[in-house]
Amino acid sequence: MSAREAVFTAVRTALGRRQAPQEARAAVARRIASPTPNLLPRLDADLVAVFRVKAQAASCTVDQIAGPDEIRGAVGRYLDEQGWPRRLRIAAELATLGWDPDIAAEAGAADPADAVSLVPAFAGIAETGSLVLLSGPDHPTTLNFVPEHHIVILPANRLVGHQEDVWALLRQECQTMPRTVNIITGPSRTADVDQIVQIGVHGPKSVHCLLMGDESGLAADERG
Amino acid sequence: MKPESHAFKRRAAEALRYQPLQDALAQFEDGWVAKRRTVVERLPEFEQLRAQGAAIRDEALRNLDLYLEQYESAVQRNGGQVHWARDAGEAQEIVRRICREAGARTVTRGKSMAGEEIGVTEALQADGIRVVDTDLGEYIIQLAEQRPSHIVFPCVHLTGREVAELFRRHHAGKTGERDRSTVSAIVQEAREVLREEFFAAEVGITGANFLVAETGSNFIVTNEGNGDLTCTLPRVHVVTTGIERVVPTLEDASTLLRLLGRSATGQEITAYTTLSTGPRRSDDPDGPDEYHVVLVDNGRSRMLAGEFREMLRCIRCGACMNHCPVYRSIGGHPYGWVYPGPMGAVLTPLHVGLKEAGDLPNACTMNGHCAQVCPVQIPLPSLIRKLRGRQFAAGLTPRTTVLGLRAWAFTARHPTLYHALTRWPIALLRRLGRRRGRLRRLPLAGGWISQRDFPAPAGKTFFSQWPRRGEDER
Repeated sequence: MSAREAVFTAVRTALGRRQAPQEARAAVARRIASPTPNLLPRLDADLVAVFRVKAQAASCTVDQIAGPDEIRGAVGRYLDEQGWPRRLRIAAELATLGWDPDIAAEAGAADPADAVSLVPAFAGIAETGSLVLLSGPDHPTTLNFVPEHHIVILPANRLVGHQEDVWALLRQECQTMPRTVNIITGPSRTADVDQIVQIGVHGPKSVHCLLMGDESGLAADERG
Repeated sequence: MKPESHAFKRRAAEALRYQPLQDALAQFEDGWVAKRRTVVERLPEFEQLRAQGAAIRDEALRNLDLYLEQYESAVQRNGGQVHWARDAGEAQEIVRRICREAGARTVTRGKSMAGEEIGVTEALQADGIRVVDTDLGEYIIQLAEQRPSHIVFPCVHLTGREVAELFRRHHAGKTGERDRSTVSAIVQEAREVLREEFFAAEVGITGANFLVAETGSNFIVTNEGNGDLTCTLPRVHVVTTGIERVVPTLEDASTLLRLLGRSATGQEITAYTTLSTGPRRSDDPDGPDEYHVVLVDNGRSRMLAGEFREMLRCIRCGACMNHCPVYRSIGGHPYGWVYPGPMGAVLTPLHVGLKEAGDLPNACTMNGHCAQVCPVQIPLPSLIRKLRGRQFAAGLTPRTTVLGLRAWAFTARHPTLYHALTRWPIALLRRLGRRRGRLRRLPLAGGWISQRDFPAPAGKTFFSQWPRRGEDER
């Protein structure tokens, strides 16, 4: 008997059955085919405000911009403020924003020399102040972990209430699951030495979010 | 991993005398316990979520065969491979084979308790492979050649100064002499040293917090980002985990994630929650070419059958040990295997046998705190009590306990003797403590009384007072 068969036999024996009854099989298939959220914690209606509070509580800084035209200016200002070189590793889909000659921006997977990355978020989660990033041809996962500093663009109309809303968006918009879905809430941290929380161990030392779009409009939509 | 639970009493005594450990454990109340309480109080739905969390885990276990079938076919649909292992030995063989075929010389590992259970590191090292633990706590433990003493904070028993000394000894050729006097300097040094390993590794091995039957994905939850670098940079990603880790849908995982972060570290969510599904897609610029999941039974199906099924709900948050007075007095090492604290007191005897780990279920005060905080409502004290029952039935209860209980049972069945035996000592203690109203010395209870005073008893036992009370009322 193969190990697989042996494990399944042991599990079925433990459950007191040789084969799962037809009703159980149907119920499991149903549960998986039409996933439904369990209890969702209540949230304030103003998702942008909730997001800001939660993100900042996790040491993620948040800046507001009106639209794509302002990305380059906001990123340049932020790099200058932090005293970092004007050099970026970007997601390929941002290459058309016209970075030259202001900022040296290169698309592609990250390498160890990259200090700052810029990527667009698939969604944001107000409940936890989280950014959701997907792997794909235009946005490699290494951009989220290798560089020391991470800048993420979050269109305000992609801000949802709960994690469960992200799953719904994924099912709607993606044909298949991407290899990686990263839910990122603030910079990397550890409490392994003396139980003291220290920011910036293996992942980025800072996460900066550019919230893009009209806040009031979004809040009204969500209420409607 | 070879158990050392038989040495529980000796190692507990050592732990009680080891001051750095006692200092670290003394921080728990104002640290992890207080942090958890704060975030739980901020979420009015927490108790309802606990009930739902338990129900989700129960549903997954009730139909474990079906969810595993669904999970397996979803992994395969996404180009991943599923391997099945009856026990730790088979799991070791599978991981060794994958690493051999990948031509691995360096393997990075994220934290995985199932991986500890299997003994992944030892097995690969025997093949001459360099295995680097990348979770900072695990990395430190590896340098110290010790075992984790907590499932979430593996090196909680070591001080920053001890870590600095370990780095000085082990990083000599890499980072040379440098300042290691602050936590931030230590963390920065670990970042630099481990960075090279992440890029060098051919295989990255992680655990899984949850497996999702719906999508064939695995969740990894970390704060450091080491899990993500481990499962993204190497050419091969291997997940080692138990068969019970599966949940039906992404939504079910979300409910459990709300419970996990709060219970483990007092966070509403950890910095990184990552869902991995299969290997990199053909047009992905990064990610592993191969994705393997090693599903280990190793005694889990046996637990599923009997009166300990509830233990399989466990989501490995560590809240039970953070709230346990026994764990917080002795730390994790005396438990002698992978899982310490109340969850370990149940899991260890079930995995390695009561003969080896018989002391563990007895190292419990039955205060019930673990069950109150458990995010999936595992009735830990009653499971521990069941193990004591099994131990007695198997004749494994220590001789002194059996003799003591037998003597007590004998006197309890002979009321005259019982009353005489209680009356005289009580009267004596009353006399001794008359002046102060409390006792500072007590024969046969030196350890107990060294920490506190014993209030002087009333002088007469309940039984001798009762008849007189009856007379008064008449």
